[in-house]
Amino acid sequence: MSAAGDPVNVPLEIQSGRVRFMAGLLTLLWLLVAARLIQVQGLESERLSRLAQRQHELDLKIPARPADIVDRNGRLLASSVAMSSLFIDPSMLNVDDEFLNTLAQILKLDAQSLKDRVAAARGYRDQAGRASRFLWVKRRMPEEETNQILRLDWPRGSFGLQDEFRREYPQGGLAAHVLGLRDIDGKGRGGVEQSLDHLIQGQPGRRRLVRDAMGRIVAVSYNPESEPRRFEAIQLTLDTSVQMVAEKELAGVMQEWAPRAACAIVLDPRNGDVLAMASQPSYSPDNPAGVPDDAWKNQAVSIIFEPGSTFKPFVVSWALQKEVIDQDEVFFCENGEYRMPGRGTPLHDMKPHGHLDVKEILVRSSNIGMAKIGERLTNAGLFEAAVAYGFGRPTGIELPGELPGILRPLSAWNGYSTGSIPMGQELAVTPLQLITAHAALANQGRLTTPRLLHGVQGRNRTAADIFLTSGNRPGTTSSAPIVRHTVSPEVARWLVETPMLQSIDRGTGRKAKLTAYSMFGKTGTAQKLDPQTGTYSRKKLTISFICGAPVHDPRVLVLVVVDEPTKKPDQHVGGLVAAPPAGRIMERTLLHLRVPPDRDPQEIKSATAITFDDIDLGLN
Amino acid sequence: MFFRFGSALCLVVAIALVGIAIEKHNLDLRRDISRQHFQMDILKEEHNRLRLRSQRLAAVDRLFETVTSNESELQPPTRPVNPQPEAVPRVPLLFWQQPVKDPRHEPGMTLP
Repeated sequence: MSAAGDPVNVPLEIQSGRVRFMAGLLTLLWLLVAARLIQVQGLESERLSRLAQRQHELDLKIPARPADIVDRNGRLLASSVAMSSLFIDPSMLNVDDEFLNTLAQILKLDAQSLKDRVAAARGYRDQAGRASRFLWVKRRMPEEETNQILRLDWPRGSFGLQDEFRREYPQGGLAAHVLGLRDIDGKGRGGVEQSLDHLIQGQPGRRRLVRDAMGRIVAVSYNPESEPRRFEAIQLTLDTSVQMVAEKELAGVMQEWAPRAACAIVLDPRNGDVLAMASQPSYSPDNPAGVPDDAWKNQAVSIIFEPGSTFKPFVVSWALQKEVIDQDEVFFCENGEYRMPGRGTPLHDMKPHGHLDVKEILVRSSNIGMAKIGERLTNAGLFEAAVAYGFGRPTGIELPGELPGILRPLSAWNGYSTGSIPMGQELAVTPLQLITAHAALANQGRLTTPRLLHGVQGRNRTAADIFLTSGNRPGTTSSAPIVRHTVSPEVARWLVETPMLQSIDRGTGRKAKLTAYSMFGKTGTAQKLDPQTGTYSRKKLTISFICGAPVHDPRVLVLVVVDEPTKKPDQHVGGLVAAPPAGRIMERTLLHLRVPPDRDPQEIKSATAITFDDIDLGLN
Repeated sequence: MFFRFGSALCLVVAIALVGIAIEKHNLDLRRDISRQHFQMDILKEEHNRLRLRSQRLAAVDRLFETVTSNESELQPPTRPVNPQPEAVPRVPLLFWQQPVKDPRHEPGMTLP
């Protein structure tokens, strides 16, 4: 019998079965928990950890600020400022035309063009049918525009700002060809911006952002090891003041003579430091879009020309070094016309000369005298001289686009070459090659590699690693320039202190003479090949002048090259076109460098104006 | 028995509360550090801009022209000498976070 509230007597077997069922169920649950634990903590722990980390943390790439470029005195030549670039997610930007009109007005863009771009991006689908999620609207905006952009009523998640660096050149167009530019993607284009890009651009770093459960950033973890690696500054050998003087003088040459192009280089012959390198026509880096095509070329390394008379000292020095001539030896210069054996056309001097010693051959720039020295050296010796002074191959300066010049193989030389090479024909050089070779004479026969990179500055410890991988050594100065011996110090000194000195004092370079400093140099007036006739043109000339000072301890070399001057055609000689600006550059540079004068101005007659007739043309 | 159980419970709760307080303080400190790094980034950028401006003003070419023409060239300042707070949106805490930089989403901004 059974009634409500009466205890129910359950058989013992049934009770035992329930207990076992519950115990089994609990055991199974515990086993499931344990298995899951093993799965989470053991078998899949790494994958799940990564997943959790990805949800909580976010790695952000931090671009490295490009290194500044400074001159040898620390004056800023190029620097970078961070600016914001605006991009949108077209699929999220559901706005009316009025919004886009306002946006275009703030950004100073064409409204219709912006609408078309946004519409095109909205309609775009990739191969998988996905919509475009990214469109640059404007890159590197001014700060005011950025502030106005942030005030707009943007749909949530429809836009973003990316920090990018804009390159600024505080000295304007100064040394534009040496510096080059950085393009919209931050890559160096031209000049040291391109050649030293591996040092300038640095390596981007990373920062880890920590997010909470709602996806909000709650902290940023900083790890010094993952910060961007960069140099503070790349120091060039340029001296801004000297560069400015060179550019002013070159601008004057362009105005006075209206040449096709011109360039000037100022070099320290002791170590190959390029103090200035100017090229015309030039451009302003602030407006790269408006630069004419011919202005991009750095004439100092990217043009080649026959050096003419400026090549003669190398031939004489090599002949003296090889002892095929003596310093006091006298050559008969055939009174102005010489029928050289093996050469069809006779050689001429601009003025007839009789007997001249080696010094006078150089001072008067006698082509016939040089041809006779060439006969002594033979073609093999002439070729050896050209190779020894570095012609026919790039100098190795840190600039892109440097030409090697033209030095034909010895097997291609003939009897003509014996007469042409000594007067600087049948080979072509760049202005930088020419001044580098003359620096060897000024530097007692030691040929150094010209250089623009003076050193790097950086407090970032890891920056040294970058520099080490580039094959250089970290520190305040770069590795020493490569030195190669050409001629003996005695031969080099005699050339500089005797014939090249007198070329300035009483020869073709008189217009460059300074009152306070002794100076050596050589003019060159080379005819260019006329492609129409296949012969040398009498009108198209490349005029050059190289000079150095002070004579007994040369500190500065200046080269001015003027290509195809057009104005005042009756005065197209090195002594009138290139020497005066070179002299002024030299004087300003020596004063700027505080080089003590080595001449008493009272003892020296001031440089007098010379007429065209006074000048031995030195034409080849 | 009840007293002991209560004491143990209070101890556990107290330890948990202290732990939470320490965690919050730690989070605050990390926020401060983040903010200081951010301020340092801003100051570095400002330093760079001012240096650039000073170098532009002292450009050799410009000085040369000024000296040779015997004229001093003064330019008005581009910003007030005693600047007032500008009516621009407040700089967000973590300005560098990408891609969204909308000050209306403060504090903390949601990434897309």
